[in-house]
Amino acid sequence: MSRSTRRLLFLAFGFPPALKSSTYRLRAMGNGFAAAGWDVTVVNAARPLWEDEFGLDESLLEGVDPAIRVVELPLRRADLETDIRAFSEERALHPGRWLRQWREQNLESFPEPTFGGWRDELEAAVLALHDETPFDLVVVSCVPYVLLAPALRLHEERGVPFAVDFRDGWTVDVINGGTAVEDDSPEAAWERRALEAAVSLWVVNDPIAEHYRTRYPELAAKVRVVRNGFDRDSVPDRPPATATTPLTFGYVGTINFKPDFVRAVLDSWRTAREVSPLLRDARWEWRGNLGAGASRGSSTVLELVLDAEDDGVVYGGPVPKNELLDLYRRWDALTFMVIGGAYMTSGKVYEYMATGLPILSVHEVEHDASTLLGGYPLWSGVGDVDPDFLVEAWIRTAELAVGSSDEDRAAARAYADTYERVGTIAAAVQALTEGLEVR
Amino acid sequence: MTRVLLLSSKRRSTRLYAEAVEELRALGAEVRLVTLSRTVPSDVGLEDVRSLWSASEGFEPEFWRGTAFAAPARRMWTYVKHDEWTLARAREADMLVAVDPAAVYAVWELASADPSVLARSGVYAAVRALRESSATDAPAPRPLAARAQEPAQEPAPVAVTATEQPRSGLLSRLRGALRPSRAEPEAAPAAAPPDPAARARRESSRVVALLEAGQHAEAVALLDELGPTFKNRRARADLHGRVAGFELAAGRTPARLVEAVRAELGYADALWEGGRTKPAVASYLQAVRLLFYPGVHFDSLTSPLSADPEGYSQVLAGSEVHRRLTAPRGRLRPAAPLPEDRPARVLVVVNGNTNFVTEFAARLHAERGAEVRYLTPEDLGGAASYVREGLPRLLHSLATDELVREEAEELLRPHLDWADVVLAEWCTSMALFLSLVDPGDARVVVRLHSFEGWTNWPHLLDVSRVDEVVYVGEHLRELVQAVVPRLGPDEGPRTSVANNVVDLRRFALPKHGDVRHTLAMVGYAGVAKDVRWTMELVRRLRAHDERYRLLLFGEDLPETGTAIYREYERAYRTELAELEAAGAVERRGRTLDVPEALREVGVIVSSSVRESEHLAVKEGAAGGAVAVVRDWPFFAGRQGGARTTYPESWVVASLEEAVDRVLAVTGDADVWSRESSAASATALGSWDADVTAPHLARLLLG
Repeated sequence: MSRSTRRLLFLAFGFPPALKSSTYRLRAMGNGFAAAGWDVTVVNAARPLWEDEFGLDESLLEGVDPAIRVVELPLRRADLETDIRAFSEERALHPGRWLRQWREQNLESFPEPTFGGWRDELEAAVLALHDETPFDLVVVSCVPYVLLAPALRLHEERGVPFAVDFRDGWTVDVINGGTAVEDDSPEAAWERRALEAAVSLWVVNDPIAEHYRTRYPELAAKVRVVRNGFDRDSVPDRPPATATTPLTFGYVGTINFKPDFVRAVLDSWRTAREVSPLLRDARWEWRGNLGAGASRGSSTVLELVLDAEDDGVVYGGPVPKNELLDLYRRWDALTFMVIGGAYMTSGKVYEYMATGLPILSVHEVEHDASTLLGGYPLWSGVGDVDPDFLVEAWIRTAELAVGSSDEDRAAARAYADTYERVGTIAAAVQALTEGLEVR
Repeated sequence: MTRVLLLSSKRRSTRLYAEAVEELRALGAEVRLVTLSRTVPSDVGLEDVRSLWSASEGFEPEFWRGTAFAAPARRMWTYVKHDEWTLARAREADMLVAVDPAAVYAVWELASADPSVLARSGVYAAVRALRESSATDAPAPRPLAARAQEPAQEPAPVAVTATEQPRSGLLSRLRGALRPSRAEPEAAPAAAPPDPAARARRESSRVVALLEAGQHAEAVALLDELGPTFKNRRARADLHGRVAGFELAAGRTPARLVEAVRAELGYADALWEGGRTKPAVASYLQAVRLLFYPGVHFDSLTSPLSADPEGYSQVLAGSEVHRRLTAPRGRLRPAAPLPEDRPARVLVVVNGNTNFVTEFAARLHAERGAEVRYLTPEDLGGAASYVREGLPRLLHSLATDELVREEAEELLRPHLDWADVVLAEWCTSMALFLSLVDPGDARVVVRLHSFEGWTNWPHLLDVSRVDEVVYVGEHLRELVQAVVPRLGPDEGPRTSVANNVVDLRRFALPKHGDVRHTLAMVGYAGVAKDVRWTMELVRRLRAHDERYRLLLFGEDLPETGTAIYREYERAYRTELAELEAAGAVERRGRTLDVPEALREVGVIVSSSVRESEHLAVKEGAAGGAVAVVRDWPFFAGRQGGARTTYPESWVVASLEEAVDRVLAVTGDADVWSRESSAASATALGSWDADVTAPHLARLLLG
């Protein structure tokens, strides 16, 4: 393949301007392939879908290589519909029953309850794009897993090779650990079929990679860990200064926690503010997506956060990428809250570490993020949502904010430097490209 | 100006509304709210707010029977279509917004009757719709379920598959719903067969007309005359129920409340006899709704139950449905003695409020070595709905398949097998759920605080599975045993009295200077606290000495509630405005550090009409405030009450006596100082946790 003929179809739902946790990775991958000389066509869902979900961030487009062509498919999710006039009486009266039936209907097309119904449209669109100007490679980043269907079809009918970026993985339960589906399930059958045909499988951490190497020993050589990382333009270019009271803590990321979790964390915050003079007038700013569809702006978790205003808690909504820097410059310490366990890393932890700010963790002890944070000098440890631990952690983090030296913060940033995303992606793209050339 | 009407099926945070209203107003909207919640947000920029809970007080008996088993979405719509105010605002609105999923159906119904109104689910969706409409200057609501009719210009959005056609006839249906819910008297056609329901409507309207004209005695006389002439049990229940509903909505305790309950219970029995168990349970619930109506007992300064507990007992005893639902099941074997080879295991069953049990449980562990576990509704999984809003379903199951007993057995058995002693804190729904199961050899103790005595819970509890009932006050035992004979000494379980376990020592702090003239109430938000009595006390004291003032700690009286409550609240606001302007009353709001707040208080007042023990008085006294305790009127005619809870000298029978006592104990600094020391000594010596915890522990563990 000569450079001029290398055409890549990148199936990347959540590509900018969507405002999703996966968006940064997808943008970096698109840019990475473009930088490596690929003529990149991205297939994404059209904006109304993302507007229905978590919203848009137009500023993310500024960082997209202008050579990348983006094709937006007009797909929507009925479960995120908010125009009640579009509802049947059945849906209005029995929303739970309607949702079950809708999901069952989607499963008839593909074993993914929320997205399975898109299969036919995706296959038709992808085949049409290929027939217009043929592709040399397809990279499909999941979720949704229904994107595997057009990649497989293009491979089987037109012979186009494809690589899979699973990020988390379909048959691994990244939230609770273990296997997510039965071995004889349709999901397992689709995954096996896809991975056997794929030229490469990318995942975000070692535990997930190990899951796939164990599950498919014959495919182990295809599995590559392509960790998330931080984008240099998202973090301040110099270490933070020593903080002074009143302190400002910050959280930025998807707010997809259960109400009990949020209650526990807010309670620990309140107690810590009562017992620690360092925290007495401290503020805690929450930023990020909170709820999709009808629950956006109406969720119980939003209520809990808003009701904590008297305790110095503020919710400021999602953050456009180009405003992140200002946040990190204003904040004195970070709260890293994330769901899942040993199989979950989260992309945010890399960016958090790259700021050089003290980090308080609220997640399971056996979490892949713990592995990374274990080497970070300004981390106050992890203890799940144990109330006593959390109160102590707030106080320790506050002490780190006001007491750590310039050297400590510089060392913290230096520790994170190895996790810059662009290098990780470039290496993976190069390996994939070279792998194709020797085939 | 775009008119937006928000509809919510439950209570939501004031700040959530504040954020939503701010955003909507910034986009040029005028925002109104209709909510099923009793409490409504204030000062958030709403043009108007409507509590359907309050508006529903006057709804007819049929409404209550019809909504008892309704799913949340249909229930919300039923309220909406009965409320003129809401229907009128909906007709004027440009956009209807369901704040939560259970409000969607009501919006759907309203929108289906008005093709010009926008209809959205969720606050953000409303904001987005306003933004879009302002951008295009063309708000364009779709016809119902219109997406399927649009030409597909692009690959079909397969996930959007609404295919229903607009329904016909909805507008006329809704217009039907717009008619006043209380029908006007109708003249039956001469040839028509007798219609008892029409007669009930007609005759109840005659009584209501007299009530509206202020002719109460005549209205009651007419009702007394009409009642016995109704042989049809439903019509009789409708007659009384409609009149009672009117009086409740007018802010009065119905003159013939018990008769209305008896009539409704009679109808429930008729339904039961006809094999119609679900409607029978719905009718029974309407009866007990009237019998224990919160406005009548909790928002009033008098209570018909307190005045005549035996009468209350009799009306329920006459109900076949009640007897069926509360038939005792007993236990196979008695409670076992506590083990001697390991620490006792105590299971504390709570329904959310653990304010009065955590200190005791901690001491039970620390001082008696007991293992303590809690069981809350969260531990019941899906069955938690039974103990929250699911009483109709629970009772219906008891009346039919008894599956609820099987669910309870499965959920509770492991806990009962573990526990030696089960303490049900509060005699409410969790205690009832517990009593659905044979406790095995665990000992079951139910603690009844106060308000439960004015509810149906003690009547529903299967006392044959309870070993002991612990009352917080002697007077509560006396009253509850009178109203629930099954809990009485003849047929009921063992009983005892134990005060709450509270660490009073942390209140023993020195005062800030001369505080003799500062009176206080800690917690005054309920009518039962009767803050107006204390305000009148201060007014009279200031006639003697203008240094007297009253500090009010805690939440203020809410702005919404039953019509009876609102009468009280209106009077409170008027009096408060005058007294605050004069510097006689100061509201301090909620305080986390009550011991510190009480350091500037010289006199602690209990003006309540009903209390179990009134902890604020004990806490105040422990801190050296001299106490003035009104002889709680709900118990004043009984053997127990304020006088058996507090030293005789602290209790006053009237405002005059209260004025005299305050003047006597505060007129001289030395006198006050002596009284202050004595109050503190009494409180710490009699009611501190060091005294009360061992007593309660002995009741549980021997």
